[in-house]
Amino acid sequence: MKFALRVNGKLQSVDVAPETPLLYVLRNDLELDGPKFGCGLGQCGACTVILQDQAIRSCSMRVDAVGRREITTLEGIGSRGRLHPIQEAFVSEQAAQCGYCINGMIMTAKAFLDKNPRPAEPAIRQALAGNLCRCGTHLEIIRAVQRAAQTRSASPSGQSLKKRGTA
Amino acid sequence: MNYSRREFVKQGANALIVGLTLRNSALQVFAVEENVTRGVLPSPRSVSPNELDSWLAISSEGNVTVYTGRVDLGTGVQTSFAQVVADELDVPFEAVTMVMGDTALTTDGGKSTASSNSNRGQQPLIRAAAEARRVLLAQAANRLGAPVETLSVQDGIVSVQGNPSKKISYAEIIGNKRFNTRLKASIPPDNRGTMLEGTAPIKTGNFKLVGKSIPRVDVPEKVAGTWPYVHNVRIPGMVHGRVVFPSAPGATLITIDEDSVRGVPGVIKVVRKGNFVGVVAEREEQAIQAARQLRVTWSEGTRLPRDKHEWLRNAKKIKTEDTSRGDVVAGLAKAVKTIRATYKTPIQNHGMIGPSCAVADVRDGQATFWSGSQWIQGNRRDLAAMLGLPLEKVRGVWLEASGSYGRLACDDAAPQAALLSQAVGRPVRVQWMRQDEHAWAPMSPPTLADMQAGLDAQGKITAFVLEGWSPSHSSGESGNSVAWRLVGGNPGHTRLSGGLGGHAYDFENDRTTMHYVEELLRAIYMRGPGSYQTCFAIETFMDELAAAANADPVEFRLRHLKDPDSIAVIEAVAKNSGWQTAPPYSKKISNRRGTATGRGISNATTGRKAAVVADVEVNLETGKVRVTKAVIAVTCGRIINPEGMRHQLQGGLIQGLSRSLMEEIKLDQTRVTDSDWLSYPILRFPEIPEIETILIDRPDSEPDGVGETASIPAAAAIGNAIFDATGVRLREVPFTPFRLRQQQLERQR
Ligand code: FES
Ligand code: FES
Repeated sequence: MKFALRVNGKLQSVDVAPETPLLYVLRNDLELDGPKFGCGLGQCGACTVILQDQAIRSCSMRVDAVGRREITTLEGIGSRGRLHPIQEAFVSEQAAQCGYCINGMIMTAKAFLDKNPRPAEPAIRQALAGNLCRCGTHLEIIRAVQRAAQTRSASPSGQSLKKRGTA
Repeated sequence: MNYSRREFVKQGANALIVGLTLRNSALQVFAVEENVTRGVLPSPRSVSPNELDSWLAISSEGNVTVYTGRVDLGTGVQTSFAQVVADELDVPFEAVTMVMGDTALTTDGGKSTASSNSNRGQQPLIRAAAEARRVLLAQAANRLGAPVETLSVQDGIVSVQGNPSKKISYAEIIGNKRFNTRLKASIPPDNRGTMLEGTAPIKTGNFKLVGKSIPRVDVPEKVAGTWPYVHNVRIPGMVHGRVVFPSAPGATLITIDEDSVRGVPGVIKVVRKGNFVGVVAEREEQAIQAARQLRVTWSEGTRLPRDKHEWLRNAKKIKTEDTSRGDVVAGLAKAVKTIRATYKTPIQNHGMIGPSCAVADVRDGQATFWSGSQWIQGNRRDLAAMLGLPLEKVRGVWLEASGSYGRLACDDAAPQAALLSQAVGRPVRVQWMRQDEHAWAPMSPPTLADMQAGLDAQGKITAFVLEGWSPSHSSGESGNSVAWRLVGGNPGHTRLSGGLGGHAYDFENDRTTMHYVEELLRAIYMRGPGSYQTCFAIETFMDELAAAANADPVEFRLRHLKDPDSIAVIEAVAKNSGWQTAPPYSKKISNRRGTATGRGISNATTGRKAAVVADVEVNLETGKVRVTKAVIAVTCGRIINPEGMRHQLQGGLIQGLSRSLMEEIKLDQTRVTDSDWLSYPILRFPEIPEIETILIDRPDSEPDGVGETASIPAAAAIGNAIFDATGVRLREVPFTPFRLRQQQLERQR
């Protein structure tokens, strides 16, 4: 069945069964490697993408449930040459060991910071409570999210995170 | 450089990149391919540990390519390796490219474990760099007409001291040419990796890069989503496979009803070989659906014990090892007080966030596979033997996987992908499902330790006895992959590892008896194999002894130590945590409600020295334990990258806390019943404590990894803190609320 998906600002057409989890469409059809398969059960967050402005688990969303809503993946918020401020903050804090969980951390943090620009530390922990990391990178990740929040409130537009999010 | 979408499908032995497609990837081997094609880098020729050219090449642009069979398990060694090589050669850090784990390009590095990488993995690279420098300087002396002693090197440029206009660069000397220099390599029988010998002096000080917190080279790509994980491999014509595991370990195949997947679109084949069953389909979700839907009947599996620790005591022994010092019988006879206790640790799962994944292409009598294996050469040998192919016809390429903590010591996914690929004649990608990883991964095996000690009137230990039982931690290693076992004819794995015992204390009478018993479930090393379990037993027991001697646990430990590193780490954590001298559980709680706080110390008793002080808060009603703060100190030899080391320490400790607080694989009569993160939870963000790390540099001793060192002392530190808070002694890991409540009630009786 044909679906027209709006992914990272582009309209993409795919031909897959309607119940196909969005994750496999993103990874295998659109070759977007940001979202990762971790559990396929909605339990770990490795597959997180942003649907409109919500961080969702792409392993647990059928492709036919997406509709016309905009999907943003890790690739959509920044690129190697032009990292998003949250990605930059993760680099500054060296917040990755194996990095397998990091897509989920960044995407969850982005959706969270877009709504809570100046979060306290416990709120950051709560926001990331559903994202698992086995390498024990938690403390660096928390600092990276704090740093991203500070960068954002220090930037003159105060909106930089959001604007580039849909670029 | 932009490698957007590359598809090299080349034939022949010289092809660097075989059919690999990684979108936007800055995979190092692409850089090599690019440079060889542009004619600036000698093409890798031989994979012989005795050739300098097999380890290192310099391009005509002055870039250094380093080849190593060692791989990065997510701990950042590709950065620290490049650091030491650049330092040894006196080239800029950016000039060094690491090529890791490709059996066509790199020598056998032995098994990569996070800890052995920093010493055994690094040694041949430093040695090769030193030898390269020696050759380069000799040639420079020739070309510049100046004696070697008068030369100095900076940023890859050799110049004559006092006459800096006389200079020549490494690139001019050897760029794009081979060294053609023989080295002496020794490969130890234990597969722990090649060691190189040579004559060139090796730097022991004046480091420019060693000791600096150079940012990791992989992090920018990891946050951008472009890092070439093995999960991202795409090959033209690749299809997807899933394995249908038996109903239980030991179960054999009775029938497969292929009609049960007739309706599933895209199915290419149901594959059966011996007891190995898998499906291949055009698309991933189709393979998943087919694997789920395929009706297979299995015989009943092996009976599993109801109480695994009782089982350990009576299980078939494979080997008993005895080590002793002094006379424990006489020592116990002298004691005024004798204490005994039994400690138990559970079966635990490595819990990789990304399940095992590999791609294999087995066609026309040859095989190429891509795997996150921790030992690509071992994986290759196994795979060749299982498929019946000559070794030269099999190439293994490592790509980073999800952090594996020992789990991928021999990858299970690659042999499965190979069997499926062989059956359909196309490249096949296999990724395990979450439940496969939880139930079928080789585990960290359970252990049991009986401890006994005597105390004299002065509170000194007169005798110390440990008797331990555990299956080996390596039964899931080479020769024993799950696929090969199911196919049959695998040689098995007989090395014994992970025995209990070992500490740094100076006891006059000391005895350890270790019984290796038969396998319970397939096992593999998990951060501090055997050491985590030993440390829990010994360091909890030390706390019990301190309590019995009415002594402060810090002082009690120091009383029995001479080892300067152990003393240093204990004193460091005591100082930084503001340790207040008192015997454990001095403030005796009277209430049974609210929370109680306590603090415990533990000292990593094997390998590198580490100590931890943990602060806990115990909810007296629910039995839930929260670690609120941990201070950890380690001595670790020369520190290559301090920030990298801190991250490793925190990571190792967090994993150790998680294992100690909540992790236990559960069994029913025949199988593992855990299948996901709900049944097997791990520590989450809100529960992560504040951590303070103290690095005690020992610049004169060899560098070492610390991830596993940090995991080892976690259990005893928490358990001792729980005792300090509540007076409840937990002798079994994990410290679940249920266990704590049970012991509380016991005590109140
Ligand atoms: S893969 Fe989607 S939540 Fe784990
Ligand atoms: S960095 Fe490895 S799982 Fe988080």
